[in-house]
Amino acid sequence: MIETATSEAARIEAGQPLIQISDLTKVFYTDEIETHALSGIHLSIAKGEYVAMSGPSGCGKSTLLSIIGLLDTPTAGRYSLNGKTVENLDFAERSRIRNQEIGFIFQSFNLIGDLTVYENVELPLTYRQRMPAADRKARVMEALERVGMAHRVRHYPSQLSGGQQQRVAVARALGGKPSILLADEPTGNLDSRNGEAVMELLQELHREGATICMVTHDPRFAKHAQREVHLFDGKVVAEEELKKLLAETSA
Amino acid sequence: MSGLVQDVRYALRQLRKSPGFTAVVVFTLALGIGATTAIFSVVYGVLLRPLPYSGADRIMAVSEVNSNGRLSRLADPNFDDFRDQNHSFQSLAKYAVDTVSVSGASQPTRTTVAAVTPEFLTVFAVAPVVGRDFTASDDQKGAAPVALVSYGYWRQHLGSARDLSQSHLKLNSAVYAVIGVLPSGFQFPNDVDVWLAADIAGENASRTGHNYSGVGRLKDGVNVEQAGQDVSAIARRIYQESNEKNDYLLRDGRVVPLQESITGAVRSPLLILLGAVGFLLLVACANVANLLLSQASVREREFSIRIALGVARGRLMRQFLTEAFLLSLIGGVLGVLAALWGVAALVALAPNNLPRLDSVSVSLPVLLFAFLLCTAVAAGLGVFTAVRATRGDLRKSLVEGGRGQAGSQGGQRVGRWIVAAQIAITLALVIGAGLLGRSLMKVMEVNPGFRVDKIVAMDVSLPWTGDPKAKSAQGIFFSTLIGRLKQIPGVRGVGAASALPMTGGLPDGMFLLMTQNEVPKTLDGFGVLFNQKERIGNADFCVATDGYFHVLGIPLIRGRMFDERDGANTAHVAVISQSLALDRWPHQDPIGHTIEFGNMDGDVRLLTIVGIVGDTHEYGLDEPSRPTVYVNLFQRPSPVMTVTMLSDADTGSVSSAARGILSELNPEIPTTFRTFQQVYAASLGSRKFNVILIGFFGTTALLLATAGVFGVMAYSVSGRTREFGVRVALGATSGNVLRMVLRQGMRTILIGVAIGIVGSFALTQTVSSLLFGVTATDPVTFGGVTLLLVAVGLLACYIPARRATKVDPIVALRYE
Repeated sequence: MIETATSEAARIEAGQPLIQISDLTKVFYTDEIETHALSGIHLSIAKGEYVAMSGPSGCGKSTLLSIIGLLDTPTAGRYSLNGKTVENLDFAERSRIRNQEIGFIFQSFNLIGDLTVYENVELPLTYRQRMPAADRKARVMEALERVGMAHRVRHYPSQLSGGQQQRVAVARALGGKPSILLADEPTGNLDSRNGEAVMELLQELHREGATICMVTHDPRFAKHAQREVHLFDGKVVAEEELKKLLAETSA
Repeated sequence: MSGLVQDVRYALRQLRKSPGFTAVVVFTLALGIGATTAIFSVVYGVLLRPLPYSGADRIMAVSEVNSNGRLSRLADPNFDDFRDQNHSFQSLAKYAVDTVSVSGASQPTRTTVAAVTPEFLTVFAVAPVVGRDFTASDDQKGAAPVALVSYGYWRQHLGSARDLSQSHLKLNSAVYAVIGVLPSGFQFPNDVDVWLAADIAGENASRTGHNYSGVGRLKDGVNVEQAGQDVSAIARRIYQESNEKNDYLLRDGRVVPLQESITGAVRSPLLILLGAVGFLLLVACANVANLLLSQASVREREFSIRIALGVARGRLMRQFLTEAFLLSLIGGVLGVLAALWGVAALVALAPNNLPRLDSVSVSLPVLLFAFLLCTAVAAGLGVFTAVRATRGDLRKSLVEGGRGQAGSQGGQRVGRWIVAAQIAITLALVIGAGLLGRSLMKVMEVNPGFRVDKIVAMDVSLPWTGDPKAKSAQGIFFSTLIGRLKQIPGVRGVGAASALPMTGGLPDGMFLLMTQNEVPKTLDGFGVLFNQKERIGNADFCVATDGYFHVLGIPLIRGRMFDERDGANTAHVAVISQSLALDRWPHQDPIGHTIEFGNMDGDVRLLTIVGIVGDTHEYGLDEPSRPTVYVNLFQRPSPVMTVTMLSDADTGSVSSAARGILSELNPEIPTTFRTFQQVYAASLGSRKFNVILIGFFGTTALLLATAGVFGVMAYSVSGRTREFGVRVALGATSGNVLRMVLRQGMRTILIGVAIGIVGSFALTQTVSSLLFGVTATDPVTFGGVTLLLVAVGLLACYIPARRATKVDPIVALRYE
């Protein structure tokens, strides 16, 4: 069971992070090749923290985000979310935790084309058992107002600009009141103006108390975070070390 | 032209590039076109192909209309009046068919012969290829017996002798001189090999003795309606002027084209079959349309690039049409090959009562039909796919995939509607098959009133005779034959009857209730009695032995069977069926009553009713039992009898032994054998034929529709991988995804089912004439078939739905 926000806050205050990852590895096996995507990752994220994960392509940042988001499981290591060990949960339990504790923001927005803005935001809430329709509506409208898209509830995604679509995607992530927002290159498909607008939105959310973990390869956007985690070849490295490794690689 | 060649070349390359797709489309089209072509072959051969006579459309069947408004055959004096008084026919002839023993040729045969009037061949514009036609003098009472033979009979039994002076045939104790040979291929009525002059023994003076069919050739400038009015006027005049005003006297006359007369009874079932196979073709085309749409969506980017490069939409549509035509052509060629096999199978399966089967083949008109069918299918599919595929947004297609919405299903809506239509059509077909199947089961549940198994039937025809002594000798012959047959090892009982149940071979007529004191002294006296309704009864007339009832297991309900007390010189007795007892003596005991039934066999001696037996179904299990009077073969001998043997022994050995015994008694009497199971099966032949064919179409349509549902759902699921990934990422469980996909699939299926049920209520009315024991809206069939379709549809949705639940949620991020 995920504990309530009150007990959770007490635990964080007592030094227990929202996300605690220890010695986590992820190995992909194909017929003959064994690829170590993540090797001995240690990471903790406190509630209310805004963390950016950066690194070159193929460094393992999206894989790490997938594991944090319970979309994938680690090969070894420990992962606890809100104090609960989650690395070995079954599919149904992981689905439930994803639905209630995690909000996803994708690079390509991933709105469902046949659903209206309202229905897209409502979607994760429909997977919650016994949630009254009135509560769902309140949550949806609250989230849409929060991102400034409440006036577009009847629109379909194809009728929106890219920036608007990503704002709707953020609203969808917020609607479930998750413990953490996971954003994977949220500005990747946006022009710089819309990209900045989304980053400002995330910063606002963070200021209001949201915990955010964002993957980005753009240093400008990474600077918006409180803390930057650098990955290289599946390992967490210090910024100076990363610069050195990148220089060696390019040389 | 070079553009067309280029299109064909490109189309062939496309088909080669996707061999699996091409194979499935071609197979589906071949199935639809092949089945439709095969059924059309039968429809064309039986209903549409002109009869093989010169000016066949001017040859008419002429009938009387009886007091019930039904068509009946012609009585001799009525035919004479029609022939002599009409102003519409160049020539008018009558004919009657019988199966008799013919000897004198190379070997004795049981041969179908027709008694005809001299104008018969003129009606068909046919002349003998050897010898001469009948003349008027050949048909005079007392004229020397002469016969015409078929070309086949002449070749097989008369040694193809061009000099016919030595060719004689012995029929019914008379020797007939063969005077002519008819052209090869001429065989009307069906199966007839010998034609005799009808009236050499004199005409029957009664206007209620309906023994002949009428056939005539219209005069130039006279149409069917005019001829009908002409004959009708004569018939009404006969009725007005006749002093035989009873139920059997004609009320009207009717003229219909001969072809319609021959095929009228099977017209409706055949058109129903054609409609059913048309539905199957639609279901097949719907499957192909969906496949083509799927392929077109895969090639959408290619088409957009072509349009961007400047190709006109018309040219693109031509490309689609070319591909569709090539697919249809290949499918059509394979379909025609399948139809060749299918036609052979249909002919083998066809019931005995399907006329003109020898006309059924994959002929030139049928091939033309198949070609037109291919062209129509190609045009329909080509235009449909082209319109759907080329109306898209060019810019969107070119940049598709650039940024994302997951799972837009707009393009799949058409596919879903097509599947719904398939389901609707399939439902109607399967309900039709279900109704016919349930009817067949209901028919088979009917108690026939007799035993079916272990009975061997042996047809024996002795020469017809009017001489009482000769008739008596025939009775003795049958008595001897039956006695000998009882000695065959394994034979437990032997009987005989003038016709078997289910064959409809018994004559029927009016009998008179009278006592010995009331027997008139003159024929006119009988006429007066026939006008007294309280004296009249109607019944089938069957000559039988007591063993017949024993062999067939027909129960004795009251009184007694025939026995040794009933000799040729004792009072003649009769056994009647239960339905006749209830119908004619509803509140009395019929036993002991006497009746006169002389218009059946010319014997006016009274029959004393001595027993009542169970009813049998004379005309088939789906026809009500008919009242029947059974007379004793040994008192009222008949020359044409079917001997029935109840035997535990092998049919072949019993038949062989029986043939030997008959040959010992009289080597000139040919015979044929059949088991009673064959008789029983033949009576169900039409129903089985319809059930098998519509069942096959329904099953095939069900398989195609299932494939259609599966294909659309699988295509939908594969196109929505990203959407499912997103949903799972947002917390959807496997159950959520499974239910969602099933719900969407079932929505399509239920729409189809709803349309299908409404359509079926209307369409099943067309098969109501073929139903027995079930209504056209039978709730069991409708409910059962609906459940079946929903269950099959659910299964077809379940597999893609399961696949949707297996989507790895990481795919949602992999699109980043």
